[in-house]
Amino acid sequence: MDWKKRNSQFEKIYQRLVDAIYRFVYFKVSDFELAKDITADTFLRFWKTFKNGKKIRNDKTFLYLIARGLIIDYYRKKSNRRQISIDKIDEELLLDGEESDNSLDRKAETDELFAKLKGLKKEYGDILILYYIEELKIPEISAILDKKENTVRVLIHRALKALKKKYE
Amino acid sequence: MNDKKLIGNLKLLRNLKLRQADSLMLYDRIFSQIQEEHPDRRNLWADLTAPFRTVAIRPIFTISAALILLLVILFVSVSGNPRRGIESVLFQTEIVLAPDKYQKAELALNFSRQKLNDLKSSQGKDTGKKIEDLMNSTSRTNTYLAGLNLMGEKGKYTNAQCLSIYKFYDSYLDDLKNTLTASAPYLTKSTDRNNTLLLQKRISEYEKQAESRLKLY
Repeated sequence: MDWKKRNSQFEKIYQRLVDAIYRFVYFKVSDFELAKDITADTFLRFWKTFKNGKKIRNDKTFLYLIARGLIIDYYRKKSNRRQISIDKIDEELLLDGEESDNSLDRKAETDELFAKLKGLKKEYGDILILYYIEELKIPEISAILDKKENTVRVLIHRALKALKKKYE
Repeated sequence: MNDKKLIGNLKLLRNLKLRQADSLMLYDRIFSQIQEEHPDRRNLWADLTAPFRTVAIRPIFTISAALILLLVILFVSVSGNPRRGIESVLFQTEIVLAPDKYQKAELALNFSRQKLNDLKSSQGKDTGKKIEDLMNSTSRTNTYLAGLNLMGEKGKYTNAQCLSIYKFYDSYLDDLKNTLTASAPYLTKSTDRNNTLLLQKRISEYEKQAESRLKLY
């Protein structure tokens, strides 16, 4: 397949998944600029494999895998990690376009949820993000987290329970 | 907090997304690097759309904008009047987006009413063109009204609403008839006079139809 066609296909994949990947990365690193960098690297790494015509079974899963790997690399490389504020969702992001009292209440709620999500065990946070927020299927999550499907089901249940406990 | 509420709140986080400007910057960053790798294999599409990247990232906007522009040009060229052209496009769009027959009929009737008021207040200016517009809009209104189920449609509109709209239509036709008679002195072209006669004939037919429907209530 020629380069032009590959490029065009890649552009479609990008348009379809950039928001989802960015969101996933942001929830993990809580930094707006860093999330953009990692998202860009994710797609560029994806392109490296994609352009050579290598068969990719599931674009979405592969992108999440790359993103997750880059996030882990980032935390490993950072020896003197600074504590990033995890209290609020970055103002740069759009929650929705409304400017109303309801919107402000909802933002406060989501900020609280975001902080509690970050306070969970890493595994639990990943599972909740992938299952409830990104709405991935169990087999996809299983491939990303490299766990059996039954284990993923159990983890979803435990993660939700752990999050619920944070509200008590 | 119960599970349902918690899951609902989690799903709300799905609404987080990049601002358009940042999405564009990310796009440029990624695709410019890709092109650097292959400088002699440029993405022609990306180059051509570089100034319009915002719209190119969301193709549905390009297509919608192009369609609307095409419709406006079409209507302006046919009507010869930009304001009327744009009004027609907006009206057509509203009709298409209206969820049921009643709302379509109501929109069509209101549009016709506006046209009639315009003719009344124009004092002889462009009378011929306005009568032609009225002929078309009244015909369209009649078609939409004829499509209404007099007993109403559950969840959409009631028989009381149908009765009300037919009464309004009946009074509109009456008013239209009188206005056409009053506009006769301003018609200088034979085509305009013929259109007026044709419209008056149609009004009689529409009145009969409206009366027969009103009798059913």
